Amino acid sequence: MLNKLNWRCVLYILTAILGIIWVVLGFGTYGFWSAEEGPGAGFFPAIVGCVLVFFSIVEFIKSIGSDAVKFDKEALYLVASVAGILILNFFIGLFPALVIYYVAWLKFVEKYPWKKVILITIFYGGIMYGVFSLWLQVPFPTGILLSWL
Amino acid sequence: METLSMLAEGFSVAMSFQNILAALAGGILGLIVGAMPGIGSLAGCALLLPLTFHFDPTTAIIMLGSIYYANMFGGAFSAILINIPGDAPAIMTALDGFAMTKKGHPGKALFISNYSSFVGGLIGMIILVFLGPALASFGLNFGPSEMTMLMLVAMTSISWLVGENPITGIIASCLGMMISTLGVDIVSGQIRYNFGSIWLLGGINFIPLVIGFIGMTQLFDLVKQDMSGEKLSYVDAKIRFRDTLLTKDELKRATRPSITAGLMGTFVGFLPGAGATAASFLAYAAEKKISNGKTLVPLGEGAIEGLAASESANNGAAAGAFGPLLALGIPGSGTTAVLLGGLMMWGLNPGPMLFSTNPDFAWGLIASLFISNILSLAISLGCIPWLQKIVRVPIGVMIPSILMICFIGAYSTSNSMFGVVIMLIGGFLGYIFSKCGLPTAPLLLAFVLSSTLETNLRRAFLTSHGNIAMFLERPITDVFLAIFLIMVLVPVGRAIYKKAKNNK
Repeated sequence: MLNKLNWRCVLYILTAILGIIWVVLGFGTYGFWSAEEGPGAGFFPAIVGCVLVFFSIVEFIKSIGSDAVKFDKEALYLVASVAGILILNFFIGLFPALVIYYVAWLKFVEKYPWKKVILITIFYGGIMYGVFSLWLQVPFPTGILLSWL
Repeated sequence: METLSMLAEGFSVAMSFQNILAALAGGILGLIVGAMPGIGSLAGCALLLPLTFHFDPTTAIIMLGSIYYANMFGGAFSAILINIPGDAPAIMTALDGFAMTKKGHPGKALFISNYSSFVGGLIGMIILVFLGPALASFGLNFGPSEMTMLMLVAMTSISWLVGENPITGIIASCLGMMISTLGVDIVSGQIRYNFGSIWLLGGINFIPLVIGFIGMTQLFDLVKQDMSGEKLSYVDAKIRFRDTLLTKDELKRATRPSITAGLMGTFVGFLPGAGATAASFLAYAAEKKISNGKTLVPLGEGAIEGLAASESANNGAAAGAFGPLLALGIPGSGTTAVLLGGLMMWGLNPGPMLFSTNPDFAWGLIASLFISNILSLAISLGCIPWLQKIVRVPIGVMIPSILMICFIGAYSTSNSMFGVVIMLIGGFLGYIFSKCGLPTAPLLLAFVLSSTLETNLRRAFLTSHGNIAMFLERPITDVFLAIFLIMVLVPVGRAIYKKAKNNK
């Protein structure tokens, strides 16, 4: 039985658990129905939770023994990129972190020559900065290093 | 006749040099802002509202109307070219629009989008002129039970829309509805499902979610293609402008859905609270039923009919939303609420008296919508040769560029890193869902409509003291109930029949 389970089964187990949480909190904590006020804050979520649990079980049974789900190892590049941006953001702020990531990707992953990297970064980064920071005045986070300076 | 002479008066107001210039400026700005993921029409109108302070009231509101209208055109650009919808109504546009881009027809997709937006908007405006006040009053007959049934029909149609397995659609819809219940309950004000987090108190913002689930998820595919040295078919293709023009057959295939979806979208736009998003996917669902098996490619895989239906309904609803706004003073959507704020700021009170107390203004605004529609079409068509160059950007440059705009777009909606976190969670979940065959479009659309469904369902039960028979007692709910039952039972019956036939 266990060797017939795959990621799809795991996903539907998780959605069923989520549904159960919504049902339990809906009925118990937030109130499903009261005689005076009618449907409570838990009314709608509890119904949705019930539907989710039912169909998750149906889909779980259908998924047993289905083709295994394979994740791509290339996805790690994106995971690493996101982790890098978040760490850099903490120190130097969001916009500089994104620019550094942009340069690093073009130079070290795509292996573009420096001249091309700088030109593309100035062009695209300039548009993004001009529109969001200068025109729309979005206050990007500055990071602890820049705040300290 | 009186209506036409009033409209002619309106055109004489709107056609002044200053007003045309304001509409043109609004059109260009609206297109730019609408095309940016993370801004959308609501934030776009709110951000650009201060620009109108420099003009007299009529010119200011003409500019604002133009911004609003052009936003609806612009929302489709990023959906078609990079699969990131500029705003919620463009989700359905991305399904067929981006599929067309991947097949090497970005220009044609943009052309159809602009053409259908124009047709849908034109239908909406004509209906607005002649039937606006009457339809707006009819929309008021939609009480909680009617709205509940309408939303239920809409929710059901989502589940049957995407993919061959409706159960996965239902699961995704349930997940979308559950995400929308996070934070403060809008009916009672009670805090729910925040699990002790202050970040969840305000609920989940839609734009970061959609950027994550659609924009970031596709990055996984792009990275895989980039790393494996695969080339996207459209990257190296040389796209000439004449290739973007529609053939007679393509124009014919786009026209019929544009008209039906435009009519449907206008009607949905008249309903307070329904909005352009509901209009676009109801029209898409209807189109899927109407053109079942008659399209050259199935809907969702680059069908002209799907793209036309979504865009036309979206713009029809945008025009229709002016009906309840001008005739009754009721904003049909968040964006029209901003417009209402603008009107009130200028000392104008929309409602039944607006057309008699400020005819110059009311008819000038309606006439300016016609002008904005034409201007937006002209500007959009003129932009196609430049816009389609975006898809010729090498995939290696596209990846960091899209990731950068995902981060910036998600951050700029709330000016907080929480938006970025939502976007990232959405992106990773979207990737897992796509690998497991769980569609994401129903999740996003259910998320958008869920609060309207919940509010109306609870109000309906509250007013009827829990009597479920209220859903059978009113003629409009009966019609929706019949549609709902047909939608649920026909596919089930068909599946049973098919199985029985195969077993023979």
